[in-house]
Amino acid sequence: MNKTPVCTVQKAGLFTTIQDTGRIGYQHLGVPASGAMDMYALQMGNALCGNDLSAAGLELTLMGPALTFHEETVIAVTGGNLQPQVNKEPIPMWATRKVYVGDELAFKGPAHGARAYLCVAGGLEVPMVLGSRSTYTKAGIGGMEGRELEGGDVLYRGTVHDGPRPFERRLPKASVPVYEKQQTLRVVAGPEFDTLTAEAGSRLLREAYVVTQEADRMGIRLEGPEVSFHHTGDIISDGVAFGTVQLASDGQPMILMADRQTTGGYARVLNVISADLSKAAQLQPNASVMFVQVTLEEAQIAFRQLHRSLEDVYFAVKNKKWR
Amino acid sequence: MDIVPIGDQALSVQFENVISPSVNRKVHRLYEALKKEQPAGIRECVPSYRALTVYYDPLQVQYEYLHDLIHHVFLRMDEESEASMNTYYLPVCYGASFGQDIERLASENELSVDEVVELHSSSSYFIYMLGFTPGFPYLGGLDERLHTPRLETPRAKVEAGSVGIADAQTGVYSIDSPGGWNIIGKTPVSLFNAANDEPALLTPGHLLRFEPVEYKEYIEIEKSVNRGEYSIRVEEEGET
Repeated sequence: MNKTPVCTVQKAGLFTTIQDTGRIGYQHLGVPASGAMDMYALQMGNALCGNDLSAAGLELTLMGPALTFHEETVIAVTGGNLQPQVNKEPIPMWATRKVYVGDELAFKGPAHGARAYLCVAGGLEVPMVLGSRSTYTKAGIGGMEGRELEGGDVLYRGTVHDGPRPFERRLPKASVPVYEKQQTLRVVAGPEFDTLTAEAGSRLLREAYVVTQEADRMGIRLEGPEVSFHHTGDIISDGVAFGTVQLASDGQPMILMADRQTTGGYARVLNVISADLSKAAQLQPNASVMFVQVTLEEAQIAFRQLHRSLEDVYFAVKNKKWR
Repeated sequence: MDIVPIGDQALSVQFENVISPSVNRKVHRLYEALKKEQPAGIRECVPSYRALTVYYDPLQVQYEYLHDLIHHVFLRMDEESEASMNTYYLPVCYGASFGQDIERLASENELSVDEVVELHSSSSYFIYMLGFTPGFPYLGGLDERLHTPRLETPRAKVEAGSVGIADAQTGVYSIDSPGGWNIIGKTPVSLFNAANDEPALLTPGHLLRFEPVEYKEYIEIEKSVNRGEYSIRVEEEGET
């Protein structure tokens, strides 16, 4: 396996982990899927760098790390704008950037959104655990020894497929997502939507909810008008998905995210559609959220469109149509 | 059987809304049948008490197509044969320094500590599913006399291997995690190890029994576990 040291972590940042597109095939054993919270941002970063869409990158949370590079290489920073800088000069997001030996990448702090992704040409190379490089810190598996990064860690990269490296590719503005402080999230009805009273159901889809401090890789707890059930909201423990909106007995919703437990005992009243999960991943505490219902068909059309924009970039880079 | 979406990349195949081994067996039979069929576009399936969650790639397969296909697979499934059940034996050191809540749990239920151990270790528990944390078994069959409410304030850390009771459930913490169960003992055996070919020790659809061991034996087993030499006793149905 080609394994080249690419950079050293000088400062770790608030919560920096290695993530790919997730751990598929072990949820029946109770192993969470994990993977990037904002999958579109990670995959677009990979596409820009000429990597496979599922390559591993760094997920940075609010306060990014400081890294020093050991080789000339191409990077891309995507996702929430944490104000990346190379040698203290701002660099554009959603674009490739060439870095040189000794260059320092650091982040000034969050301007929009909560999580950024650093992709490196060749992808980050760490041992696969249960088919994935994603870090799941609660069980200590994947990524950098199962934990968040620490100062002194050295990151390695895999093989670069991309031939002669381009100086800069910048994503057209139309493909760059906008992360709002007041976010509308499209949802489809969940298996237990009908256990809500009619009034509760329409309230859930009409009122604004506020993101609480409890917003992490496992889930985002919201606070707002209490919603009540015909009988009880609790169910016999059952499967959940990325974006499932559970309603706890206290009537407050929680959006389940990348490190969600595989099963849960609360009513699954809604599900954020895949195309809007990026927006959910970028919510900060105190942001406000409104749910808008769409059909399953509309949800899947939106997902296909999003995926097409990823593939357009991926193939343009692969086929050297974009230098 | 009902099929409903969970978002735009998963669906739930639901059976009767009860906790019972016979309903759970249908879930596992469908799980096995779909594993054999390997329909394109299915990423993975997760069996739970009364439903099978099917995760799929909407770029590869349509919901309606999967809906019909699962119906067909279900109808073609073999008549329920008597599923053969294995019994796993898990060594547990009750009380001592490992079961800090056992005395309180005993007195709350008007039992002696010995009676708690006797009741807990004389039942066979049906393993319905794995979930909550990697390798954690959801067990059915806890004696009513042991039902005990969970702690008011959960502990920040409960060690992997701790055996606990919460309301009508008993279980074993599979990794170090926060938790509010009443801890009555500990097993030296790991329920989950990502480095193993089979990362989870237990398989749903089978039975689990707890075998009381003394502290000294616990330490011996623990050493053997650490050397990678220990495997738990499994009794196949029909053996005595």
